[in-house]
Amino acid sequence: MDPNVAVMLGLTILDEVIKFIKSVKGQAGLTPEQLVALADAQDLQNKEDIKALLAL
Amino acid sequence: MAKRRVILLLLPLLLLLSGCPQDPYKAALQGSADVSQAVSSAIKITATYYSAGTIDDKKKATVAGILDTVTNCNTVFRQAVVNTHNSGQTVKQSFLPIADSFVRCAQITPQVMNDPSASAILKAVDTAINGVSLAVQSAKGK
Repeated sequence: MDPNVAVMLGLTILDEVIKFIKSVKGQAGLTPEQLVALADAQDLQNKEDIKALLAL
Repeated sequence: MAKRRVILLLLPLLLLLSGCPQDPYKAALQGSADVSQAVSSAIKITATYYSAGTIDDKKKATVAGILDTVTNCNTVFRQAVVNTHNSGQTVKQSFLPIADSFVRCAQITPQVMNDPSASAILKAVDTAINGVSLAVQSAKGK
């Protein structure tokens, strides 16, 4: 694999891991209702993003 | 073996960050929200892998199909958790079968996880899925 591509992939994964940890930490103080609303909205966005991914 | 090691390392981190122990209802919802976030990250990583030529069309479609299935299972799981809570059931034993059912529904097959590029993309999702049952089991209360 091209070293530049490997670095780019590594940085993308690291960025997503950091976002994931921040997201989990940020959700700690949410009420159950807020968690449901957040996850519902994220799932809807994920469905749209999966369609876009398939269209690439 | 390596997969188990990653899960053992990531699960305590997830539980620590999510403020466990908490009641089983909130633990189940927190687990569901973690899965949604992990899927979101996996979609972005898949797009980057595809753009870089690391995965081909077939693998992209396979991963997208898995992420779609996980999202559908997660939506059903969360609704079942809310319905259970609204019916007045609050003990851990009420939520454990729902969590186990979700893990079975969303489970990523070992065949897919044996593929290095697919495994790299889906590892966090797989960990979050398996973390749901553990989070409910570890919740405070009966």
